[in-house]
Amino acid sequence: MGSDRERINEKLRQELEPLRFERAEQVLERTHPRTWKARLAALWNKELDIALVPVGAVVSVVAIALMAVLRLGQPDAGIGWNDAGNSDDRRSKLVEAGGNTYWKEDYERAVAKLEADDQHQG
Amino acid sequence: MKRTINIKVKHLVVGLLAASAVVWLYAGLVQPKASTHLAEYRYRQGGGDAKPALFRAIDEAPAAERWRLIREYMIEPGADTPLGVYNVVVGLGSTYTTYRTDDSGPPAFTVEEKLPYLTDYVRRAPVDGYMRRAAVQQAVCYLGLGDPKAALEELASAERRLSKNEAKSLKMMRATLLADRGEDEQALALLEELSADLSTNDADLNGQIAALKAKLLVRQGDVASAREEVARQRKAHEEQWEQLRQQHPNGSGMRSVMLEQLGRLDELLRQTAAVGEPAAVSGTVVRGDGSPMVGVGVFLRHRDDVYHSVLENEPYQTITDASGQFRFDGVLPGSYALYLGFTCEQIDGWTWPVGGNDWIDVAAGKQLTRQVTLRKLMDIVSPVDSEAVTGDEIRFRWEPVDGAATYRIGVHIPLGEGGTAGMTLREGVRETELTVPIEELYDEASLLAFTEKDGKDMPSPLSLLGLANPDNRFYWNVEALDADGRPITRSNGYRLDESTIGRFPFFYVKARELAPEDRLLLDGRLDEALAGYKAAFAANEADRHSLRMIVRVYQGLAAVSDDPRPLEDEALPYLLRMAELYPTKSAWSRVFDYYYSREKWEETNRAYAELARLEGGVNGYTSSVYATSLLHQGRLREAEELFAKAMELDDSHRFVGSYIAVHLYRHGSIDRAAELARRYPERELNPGGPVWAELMAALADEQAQAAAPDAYWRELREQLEWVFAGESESVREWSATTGYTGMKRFVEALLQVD
Repeated sequence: MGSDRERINEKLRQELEPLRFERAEQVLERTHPRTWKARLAALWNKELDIALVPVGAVVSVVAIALMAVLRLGQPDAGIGWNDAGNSDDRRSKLVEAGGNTYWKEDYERAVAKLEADDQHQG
Repeated sequence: MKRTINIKVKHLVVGLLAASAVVWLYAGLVQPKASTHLAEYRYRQGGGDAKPALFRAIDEAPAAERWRLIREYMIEPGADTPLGVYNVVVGLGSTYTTYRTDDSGPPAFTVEEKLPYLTDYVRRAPVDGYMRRAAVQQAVCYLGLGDPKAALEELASAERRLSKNEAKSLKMMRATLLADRGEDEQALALLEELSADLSTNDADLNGQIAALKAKLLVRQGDVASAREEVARQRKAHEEQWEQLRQQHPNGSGMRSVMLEQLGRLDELLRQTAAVGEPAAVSGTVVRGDGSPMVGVGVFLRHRDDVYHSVLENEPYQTITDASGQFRFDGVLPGSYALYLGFTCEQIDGWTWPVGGNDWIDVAAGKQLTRQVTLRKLMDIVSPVDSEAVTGDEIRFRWEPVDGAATYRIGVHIPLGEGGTAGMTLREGVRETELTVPIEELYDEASLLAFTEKDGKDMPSPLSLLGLANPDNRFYWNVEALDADGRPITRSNGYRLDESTIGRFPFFYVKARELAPEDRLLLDGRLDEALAGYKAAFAANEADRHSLRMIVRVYQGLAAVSDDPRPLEDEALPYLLRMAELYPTKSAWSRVFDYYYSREKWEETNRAYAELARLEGGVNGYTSSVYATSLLHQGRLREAEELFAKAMELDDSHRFVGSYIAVHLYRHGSIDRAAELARRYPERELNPGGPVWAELMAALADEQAQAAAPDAYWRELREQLEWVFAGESESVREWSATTGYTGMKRFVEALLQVD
């Protein structure tokens, strides 16, 4: 057993005889960087282990907060289909009813109020 | 399960950079485009916030896009003349709105909304045809705001951005505005400047210059020079037009508007020269509290033009100035009506009480003024807000109006599909309330309207049932009139603000329930309904509703029948029964109409006597019809007296031809008959209707030139006798052969009077 090991060892030495390791410097540079360039390269190639759950949570919170802030900055941003402008701007259509001419929105609001009052009384 | 990812810093950094590039691209390029498109889409759909969305898009867009949006949504649909600024046009008792009332399409911008964008466009957008149009529209906006000075200033500053050639049209507009303001010197200077470097190619502009120059010369009293100017320009225009026609032989249907206008002007100047002084119409538009109305559109419209809405090329258009005044110089003689244009804001809560026959008769040299006062809309008290009336009478109440002598109450029956039958219920009411027994309301508030079923006309069931329908929602209105019967104000109009919206004039009449026959009627099964009503009336003589409905259904069926007489004859016994049991105005007018149409004079006379006994039973129309029946009966003196009364009752003077004829026959004076024609011009709104004054003038000329005036007179009398007797066939035979064209035209026109 022990002699076998000796023999294999000897054989390996003979086979590796022509090879010479000459880049010890570079290896050392990589494992123990000393110049700023080497340090940067190390950082550039550094591998990160990112935990999905906490990072995902943080990113979502930040995104939502960001969107909320943007929306607040432009309350009437032309995105929502049903957002109400101020009442003067809403007056864009006339309606004829009972021989009178009304702004459509005002008329509909008044009629709805009337019906609500009726139900209230009834 | 693996809950971490393993990544190199360099990959993370590149990934983050790529993501932010995408965000940046979206925010900087895609998103603005998308939101502009979204804003345009929403604007075209026309929702509540359509306009703010578009304003925001314009404000945020980069320059090129901004100019495109202003061009597309403001300049292109915008108004190049004052007319386009107004939402409501009122005149001759009619009101029409130019504001969209349906649900589709983009909303219009107000003057105030558009002005800042137009101004920006004029000052900074690339110089082209749109920029010139924007300048014109900007000036129009300022005029609408009652600020002609700003309009002039802005036009002048826009001209400085343009080459001399490009600025011509703006300069012309400026000259016109200056002339309107009475700054003749400056206007003339501008015109000189313009004509100095005009080529003959600017035909239209040349014509405009000549027309304005003539107007200014006339104002200075130099009619001769004005005529010269117009004649010269007209000749040049004609030559050029002829040349154009030779170049385009296919364009024979083309006509030159400018040539027509110059022709009209030429005629005006000819007439003016004869009288020595031009006619003018001026006035002021104020509110009831005396405050002037600034920037109201004023249109003086010829009788021939009032059948259609106001057109941009009608000759007499202006805008009230800061003190509410307007003025038209050099108006051609003729019958005119004043029309006013209002924006929604101007008319809100107010009404211009103008009668349907409020004509202005302009004669050469006359200086006429018209004072226009808008009144506050009046308020109704009850019934309102869809209240249900249940008792055996209905009480209309309203707030009193200062200066009102009487009130007129109208009721309106919705007919489905947007139609409405409206009618006057009572006039001459002196109190501020009116109580009508429900049965009388059912009897009187009736107006026949028609609908279509299976491609055939039929009387509208909703109109036949009228106010006796407990399921239909009606509305009413009230008008206040002064002691001379002229309108002061009314309850219906533009109510666009919380303070003016008032109470809704809707009400129900739930004093009865629908009978089975009524349901058949509403189903459109008129014959079955009629049989049902007859059976119900036979079973119960006191069934007033069934009797009323029998008469009405017959009337409706007769109206759509090719051979109405048998139906009318069938209805007669019921009609007479109704007039006997319930002697109302509507029953007796129907009896009167029936006998008049059958030429049964004795019965006609009796029906008229019954009508005359009822309050408000006869009006100008029934009097005139009865006077016509007196002609047929040979009672000429009475006919003449009644026509004279009817002329005062009926402003339309639709029977004036018959009045002239009987006057002429009895008194033998064409001159005196012609005087009547001038005093009572026929106002019926039918284009090409008879102008009796002209017919009488032709008649007088013909008699004067006739070889034997006595024989001429005898022939005329003979024809008038035929006309009075209703022998229209004999008259037509004569008119086919006679050589007297003047007499022929007069007599043929008489046959058309009704």
